[in-house]
Amino acid sequence: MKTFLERVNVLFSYIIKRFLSMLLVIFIVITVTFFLMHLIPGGPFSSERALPESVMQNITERYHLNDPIHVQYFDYLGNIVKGDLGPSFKYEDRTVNQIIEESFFVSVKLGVLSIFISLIISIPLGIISALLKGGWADRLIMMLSTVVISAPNFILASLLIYLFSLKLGLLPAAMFEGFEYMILPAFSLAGFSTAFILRLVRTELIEVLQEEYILTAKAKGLSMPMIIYRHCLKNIMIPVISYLAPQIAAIFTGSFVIETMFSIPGLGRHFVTSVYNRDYTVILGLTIFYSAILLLLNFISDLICAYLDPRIALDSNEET
Amino acid sequence: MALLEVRNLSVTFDFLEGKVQAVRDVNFEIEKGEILGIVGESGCGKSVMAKSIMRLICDDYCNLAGNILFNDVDLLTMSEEHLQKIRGNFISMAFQNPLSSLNPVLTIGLQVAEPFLIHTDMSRKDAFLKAQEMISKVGISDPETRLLQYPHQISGGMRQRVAIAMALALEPQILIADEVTTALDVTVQAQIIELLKKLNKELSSSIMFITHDLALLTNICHRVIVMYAGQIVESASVDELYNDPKHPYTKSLLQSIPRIDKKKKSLTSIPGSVIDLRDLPDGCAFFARCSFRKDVCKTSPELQQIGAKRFCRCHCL
Repeated sequence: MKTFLERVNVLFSYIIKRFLSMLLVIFIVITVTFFLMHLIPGGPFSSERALPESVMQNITERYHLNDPIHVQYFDYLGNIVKGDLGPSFKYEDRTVNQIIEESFFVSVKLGVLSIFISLIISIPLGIISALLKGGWADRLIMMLSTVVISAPNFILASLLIYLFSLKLGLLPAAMFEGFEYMILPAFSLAGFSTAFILRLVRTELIEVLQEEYILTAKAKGLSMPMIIYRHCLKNIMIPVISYLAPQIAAIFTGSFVIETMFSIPGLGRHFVTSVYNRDYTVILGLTIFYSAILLLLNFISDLICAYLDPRIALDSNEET
Repeated sequence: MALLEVRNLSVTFDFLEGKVQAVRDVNFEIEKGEILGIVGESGCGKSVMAKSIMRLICDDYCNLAGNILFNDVDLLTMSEEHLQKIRGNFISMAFQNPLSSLNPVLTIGLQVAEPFLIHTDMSRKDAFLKAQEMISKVGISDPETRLLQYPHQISGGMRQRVAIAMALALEPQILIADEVTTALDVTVQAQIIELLKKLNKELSSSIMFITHDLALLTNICHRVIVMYAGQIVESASVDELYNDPKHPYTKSLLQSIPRIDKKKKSLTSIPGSVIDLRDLPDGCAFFARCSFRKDVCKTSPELQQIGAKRFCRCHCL
């Protein structure tokens, strides 16, 4: 049995190890994206109507595009260490940092709401579905979830807009000016993960309910709600959390389709437009930002899973 | 009046291929403070019978008939809410596999404290203190540390002790021990048997001890029921059963116990295997494997009383 201090120590050294490996991964992401970017012919300033020679020269001078590629690379790395992702090539007077600052929180707000909606709906429905396995309620829930999983989210979005904005006139169909503007896009975003988590919870609960320790719990005199709450919920949450980490990262960094449909100034559309525009620094900056968030969320989900399931050892030397 | 009376209990499973009678018309009782052994091969219906006493078998696929009277109240007609008050409180159960019968993600403390938390008004703190007391009562050292540990962090023998501590927490009137020693090695087996005997004396709880190991029964039980193909074939006190077995199945079971004091080249075994419950013969269920079989055995034998508390189901007495 480890003392408290020893366990804090294990946790601390685990966190440091993970941070170092995360830094390494980000470094690799930066390097690979940077050189891939420069392998693609053309650039942000090559357009159909050729710019005058002198203008091109000015631009290349200003952004140091004439430097050898390794010099550019080390310049870029140096700026990243300072927290500067560089200027946008396409939008004058805007830096990548500004673009992220402006739109990231819009996407996060929307993302938090949509994740919240998914969990609130999917976990209870998943539990009901598992308990009534094979019954009409289970079949109905499973059928609906299959439909939602298979249909792309813009179909759900169009249906919601048609019903709640056009027919009933309850909610605004576009723009982003207050809470009521977030409801329809959040539901459209939540559709897939709700259906997915619901199925995850159902499968997992059906499996857990067949474990012998559930029989033990029943033999102790526990009621079904108590058995689910105390003996099943922790086990069910482990796959849900592992699934949520990349899902949250994807939602927080914005959805191009949903943001375009509802005219939301989120991060998602910058991903797509920056590629159109060959806006190198924006593409690079957003990719790095996205990988950083993804790595961070995976790390958090691993910590939560280790907390939920004591058999997962953080320290590889720890005996199990 | 007996503490628990099982009257004409039959358990039938409804499968797609047809019905299977896992327990057929079983009658027995357990007195207060008695240790009753149930013995039989795998698949003879011991476990199903034990689980049906606590109504732990899913009702959807399974039909229970007869009466199970506990202090004169029928458990089979009882509501689920009422049953929850009885389970773990007056009748409790410990299972075969000590690893899978404990929840891997909950601390041992919480799992042992749980009966106190649900059946009494005890505060969480008191329940954990009681749990600690129970853990040391079943002979686990350093109970304070164990409370915070998880099942995978302790040994198999300790886990089974924890399972027993959990079952005995509220000093139940009956403990159903379903093959609790099967997954353990011999020395730990002996410790668990001693523990059960001690707790039986101290708490005067009755124990229903289910096993397929006849040799173990002599060490612990007062009375033994031998089951075959879902039926009771013989029931007797331990001494009678060992010194004067009546049913051919009991005789062959006893002969199959390996003995160190007799020089024998090979292990005696009963020819054939347990019959398929989906395809029961008309006559005696043991007919095909019996070395004493006669023509009369093609009709079903009844359970006959042949002594004060002795029953046997055989035509050839």
